[in-house]
Amino acid sequence: MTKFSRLFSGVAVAAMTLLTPGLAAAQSASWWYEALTPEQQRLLDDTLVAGFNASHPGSTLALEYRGNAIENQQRLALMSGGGPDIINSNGPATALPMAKAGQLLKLDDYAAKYGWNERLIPMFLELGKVDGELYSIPKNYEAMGLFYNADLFAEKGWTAPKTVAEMEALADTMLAEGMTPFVAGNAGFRPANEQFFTVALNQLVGPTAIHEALSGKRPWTDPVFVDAMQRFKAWYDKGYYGKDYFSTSTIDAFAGMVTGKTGMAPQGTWAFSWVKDYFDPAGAKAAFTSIPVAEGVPYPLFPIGIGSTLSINAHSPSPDTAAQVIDYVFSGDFYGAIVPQWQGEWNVPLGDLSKVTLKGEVTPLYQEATTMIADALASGNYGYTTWTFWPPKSEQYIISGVEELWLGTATPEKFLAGLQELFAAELAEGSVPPLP
Amino acid sequence: MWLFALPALAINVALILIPALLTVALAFCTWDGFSAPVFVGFANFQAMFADRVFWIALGNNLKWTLIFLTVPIAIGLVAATLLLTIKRGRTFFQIVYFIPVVVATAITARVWQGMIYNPNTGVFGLLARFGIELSDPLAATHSALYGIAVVDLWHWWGFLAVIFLAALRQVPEEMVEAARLDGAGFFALMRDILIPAIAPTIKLMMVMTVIWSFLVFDFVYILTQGGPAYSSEVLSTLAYRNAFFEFDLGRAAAVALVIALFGLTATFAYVRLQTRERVN
Repeated sequence: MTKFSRLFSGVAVAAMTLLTPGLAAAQSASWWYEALTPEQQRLLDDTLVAGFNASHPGSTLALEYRGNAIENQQRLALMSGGGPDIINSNGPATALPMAKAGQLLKLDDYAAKYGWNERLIPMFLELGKVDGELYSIPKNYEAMGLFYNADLFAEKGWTAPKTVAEMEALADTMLAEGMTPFVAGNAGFRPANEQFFTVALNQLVGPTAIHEALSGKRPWTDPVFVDAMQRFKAWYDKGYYGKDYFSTSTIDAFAGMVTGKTGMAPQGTWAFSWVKDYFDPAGAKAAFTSIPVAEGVPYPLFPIGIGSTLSINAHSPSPDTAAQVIDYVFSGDFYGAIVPQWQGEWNVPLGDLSKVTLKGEVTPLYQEATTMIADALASGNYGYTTWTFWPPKSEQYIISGVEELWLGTATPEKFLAGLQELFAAELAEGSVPPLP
Repeated sequence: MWLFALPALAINVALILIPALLTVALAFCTWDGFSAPVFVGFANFQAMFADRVFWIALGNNLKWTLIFLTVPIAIGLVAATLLLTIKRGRTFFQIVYFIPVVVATAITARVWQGMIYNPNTGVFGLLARFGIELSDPLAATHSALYGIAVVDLWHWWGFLAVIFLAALRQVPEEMVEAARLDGAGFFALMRDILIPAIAPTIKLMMVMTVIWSFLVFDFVYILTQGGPAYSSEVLSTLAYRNAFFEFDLGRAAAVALVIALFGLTATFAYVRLQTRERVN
């Protein structure tokens, strides 16, 4: 073999080596996932990856655990024309600018092909549309409700409050007994502030006024919001959120409900996994219901949020495989496999759960809650979460603004005036996510 | 000769010069990180100067600089001088002082947050059981910045002590002995002999402190994320929030330029100082 032919063979082999994964990648769809515990990773590998690969011969899912700040990593990759095939965003507010910038593929054809329009709850599909075209679909939806320790409530003779007045009376009783009424804390996670703002705003003013404000028909400085913020601050001042709010993590406070240290948790459905972590091992019984509401606000009421959405990268070399993966996530097979093991995290917006066979045991509480939320959604009794329906600058302002309000560095009027100024600008530039 | 410099030059151009120039250009554009940037002139700077949070952050950076120009340098100098006077155990203490420097920032921050400051699970909580009530400094607007500074000081002063010790060991022993024979005590020895002898090292560390103080991010972000109520906001956390949560990369670039301006000023002052000393 001459030197030239040896060189040629080497180059050919190298080229084949480089090209082969490229050819294989055409049948593979990549998905970058946030940091998970080893147990959660194993769960996803066994259910999502193995389940998809087994049911789609010739196609593979490459799930890559990329640590924290996944959104930033993904955004930088998208800017340079790269990134994974499946784009997992933090919600409609993030998916909206991506879609407007042409980084996401239009999903209408896939929706028609796979029947997503019929299979998924229509309201959630609407949230992923830009100018009438579908670009993102919620991976899961969450609802804010009220968790409490059923054993403790039974022992004390308490009932779950349905009105704000009942809630305040119960919170005062809890304070008198040395308990912290609300499971709350933002240590390590400042966005916890907006969760409490969301609950207070929805329960005090109701979804209609919020919808009007989000549509720009009512300013955030309206007296109805000022009154609500005054009451929200009064709750903090009375100690409803605890004296160590800034030193406590919400998860620790949630664990305190088992021992009676904290009273009730205005929390999202993601907290069902905490029920499994803290209530079940202690043999304690948790309960879940709607957040209590003020007079004139519909009950039950569940503020709805979308924690993440799924889309397809506009530069994906294998969009069809990516669509297959998304379709698999919205299948009864996957729902049935994942939900019994990871309650709250994979609350896929399937319209009809009666056809789903759960491959494992789901707690009666979770089943009851899912039904309760589905019924409320069907009858329009849902509210709005800040991380889903507010534009990014306004949302960030709320996270810090709640602290200013509570700690007295801003009055309710000043806090809301700042919100109105930012929101009006974002509304004008088209950054407000779609509303149902 | 230019060929030898080429690899380093290429790396510097690719990794420093081009991103720096892009940041400067971006400061004059509005960009959400998704669509094409649009030139807006000085609008980002106008908005930044009109934002009260920017001034809070700048003030906090200045406070931080003042703290780190004094406290750790003083502790480091005293510790290094004490180490110089002992022969046995010097290496041991150097290692002990240096350990916090090599511990990952995230670990240090979480240890202080959860095991020291925390009123339930930390030393502060334990002390409260014995009647010594100490409130978590990270939880109050008046103390959050100082609470973070304490953590960073704990992590940082050992580094300065080791650097200063290395410099002190270069001081001719005859000078120290002569001063001692003349009856100089510990403070006189430091004031008249040791500190003047290692002045260039101290100055360099002070310049670096100014630069690092305007770049501070990790401890602030892990411990408070700038809160509560912006009380521990610094320019880098503000820029980070502007860029990655508010999708306003132009504004973030403008803040980054302010950070760079302070660093460049400190560097320029140091170079001038060096030049003047060389002339003298």
